[in-house]
Amino acid sequence: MTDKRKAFVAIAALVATVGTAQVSAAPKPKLDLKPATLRFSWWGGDSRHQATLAAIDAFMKRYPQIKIEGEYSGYEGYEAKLTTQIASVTCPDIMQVTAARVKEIQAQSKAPVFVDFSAYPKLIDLSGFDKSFLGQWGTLNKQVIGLPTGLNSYNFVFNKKLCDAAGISISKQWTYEDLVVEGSKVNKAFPGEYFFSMSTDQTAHLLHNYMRQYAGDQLAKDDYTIGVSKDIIAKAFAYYRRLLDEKVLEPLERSSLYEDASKNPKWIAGKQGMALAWASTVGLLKNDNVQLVAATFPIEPKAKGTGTVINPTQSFTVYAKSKNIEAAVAFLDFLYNDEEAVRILNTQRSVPPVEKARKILADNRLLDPLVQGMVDMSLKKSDVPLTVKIENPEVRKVYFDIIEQVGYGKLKPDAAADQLTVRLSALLSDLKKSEAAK
Amino acid sequence: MAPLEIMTLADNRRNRGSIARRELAGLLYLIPWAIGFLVFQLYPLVSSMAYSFTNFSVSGRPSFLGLENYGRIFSSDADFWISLRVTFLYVIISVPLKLAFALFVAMLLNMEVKGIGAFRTIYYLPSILGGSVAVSILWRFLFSVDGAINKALGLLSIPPVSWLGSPRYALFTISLLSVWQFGSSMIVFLAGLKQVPNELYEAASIDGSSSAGRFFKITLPMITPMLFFNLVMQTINAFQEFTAAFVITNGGPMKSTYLYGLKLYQEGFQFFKMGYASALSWILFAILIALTALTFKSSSYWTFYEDGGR
Repeated sequence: MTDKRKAFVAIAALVATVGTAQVSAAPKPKLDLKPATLRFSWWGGDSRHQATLAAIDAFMKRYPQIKIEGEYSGYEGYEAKLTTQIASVTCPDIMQVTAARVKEIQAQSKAPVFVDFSAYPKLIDLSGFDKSFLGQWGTLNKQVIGLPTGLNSYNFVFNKKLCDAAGISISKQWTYEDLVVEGSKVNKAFPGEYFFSMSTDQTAHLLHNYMRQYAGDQLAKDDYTIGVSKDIIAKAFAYYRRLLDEKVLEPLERSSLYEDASKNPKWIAGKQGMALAWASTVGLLKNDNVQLVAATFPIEPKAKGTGTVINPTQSFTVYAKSKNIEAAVAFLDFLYNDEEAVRILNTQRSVPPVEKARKILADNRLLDPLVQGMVDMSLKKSDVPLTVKIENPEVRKVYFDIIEQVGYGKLKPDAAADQLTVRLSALLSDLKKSEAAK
Repeated sequence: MAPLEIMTLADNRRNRGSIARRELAGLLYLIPWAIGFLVFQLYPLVSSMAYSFTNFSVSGRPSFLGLENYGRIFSSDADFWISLRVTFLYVIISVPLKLAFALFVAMLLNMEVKGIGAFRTIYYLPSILGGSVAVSILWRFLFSVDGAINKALGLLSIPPVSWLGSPRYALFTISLLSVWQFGSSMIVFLAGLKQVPNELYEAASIDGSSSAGRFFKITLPMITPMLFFNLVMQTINAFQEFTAAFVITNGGPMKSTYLYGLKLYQEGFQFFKMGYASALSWILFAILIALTALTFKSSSYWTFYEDGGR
């Protein structure tokens, strides 16, 4: 069993035994913090903003000498803003950062960008985090620079109402063939309607999952090589065409504008049977026209791996050049370990990564059963994490370009596999050279 | 020395002092602008030029690359040529349409009717709203498959069109957003129309000229300076378009709306290749300089000034 695989088995054990740990609910003694004004940036939807602002208010009540200004927005443009802030040395004191990018950002800079949390043992208790998970996602050169905000999984979420109406069976674990056979029932029962729709990003996830199951490896590996053969890539693209040609998947001409199902009028009206969703944002899919039931991605009969993704939802970091590092670290300790903050934040960033927090929510029945169910079922089938390279923006762009061309019928699967292999090889080679030069 | 000479010398000294004070006052008034120009325009301009010869990214010190960025752009970046082609198409579609529409509305607003002031305000409103993110999002909703435009077409029994999801229509649809903001061009045309002497129209009417004849033989030639100004300004704006492509379609579908501004943004702020993005911006600058110079050169053949000047 690889080290990474061990990490997830350990987390699964932790989550499963959450009921046995004894947790003290007594509040931590107040710290002697100097007056400070902190800037805290994060992205999310309205419910996350409200919960986070409420948690900030609770901290400021406890420490009136600390003022925290929230700088929050939707995800669109957040990364670009963060890039600009890092380049111009104007970062907020506390930043929510995409988990896969924390180590990459730090590695690109000779000077520290993020604070090492392990240097502040009196201000923040890191013992509740799983060491392997923290090591995998937040530790670089023995420094803990990013703290996962939650355990997040990517799942299928069925709309049971429509599935029942179309005669679709969702009780068993599906294979990819089941997705085609069962999914095509919607268009047969309700002409003009489709089982589900996907953005290009979601299509990329689905096809990568498919490839991983056949290849036992990932498309872009961290050693700058391609881990999937051309034949398997072509097979994945051929499967994608099947989903479109057999009217399981909504055509791109109709669905390409919607980043996810929650914005698609068809889903909102309850006319779709399934959506892909992260556990942290599955709440956006809820409405009166749907009845949500979660499942893992399909698993092929002779799969070499499940391809099931468990990530940190994001990571919290503290800017190394902040003038208020102690106050910032203390605030994050409050968010992770204080009962009041845990109750306020709930599962706004999916299942909490700290054992104590999970116990508090479980004991008080505050964990959204849908969210917990998604993470639990994915943990049981989790695969190694996605590589850093597959999340690289330039790699994603090449991959997305090819997917779009296949989706619009401009490229046949075999030609698409050829193009993807050639372009990705060239790009990974360039990335290797430029990162070596730094 | 004669008293007159003494007065003249004293006057000269007072005059020189007064001139010096006026010059100093003028320079002091210029200082805020000068500081702004130096800090927010000249410094970024020079920095960007310098970075374009390096591998500058978000963090870390840049290394000198010479002309490597420019070489890569022209020789191995297929997306550069795609974005350039799409941008030229966008300019060719949006600029003439915008100017034609602006002129048409200006001519309507040049009529002497009751409440013309209110009409002028109403027609200028889209330009005040601008090409903001909010308006772009609204445009996306209007032209989505289930949007208001398709619903209106449905009332006429026309099947829905995938305005933004089809590579065939997406560029035209976002060009319409630019055309919709015709207000500033309209104002310039309106000012020009007001200056056309009425006697010319009267004389033409007496000679039996038709409306079309009066438009092509009098109106259009007389407003060519305004047309020239609007053409130059709108072309430069169109080449720099970014918001609509980013918010509405993010360059898709199939890169049919992959404008140059979006390519530049991606390289700089998504891939963190600031040096490469700087090189792209200077190439755009060179293209705009060339096109503007061409327009100026050609204007001597089709722009007419009342006083015969250029």
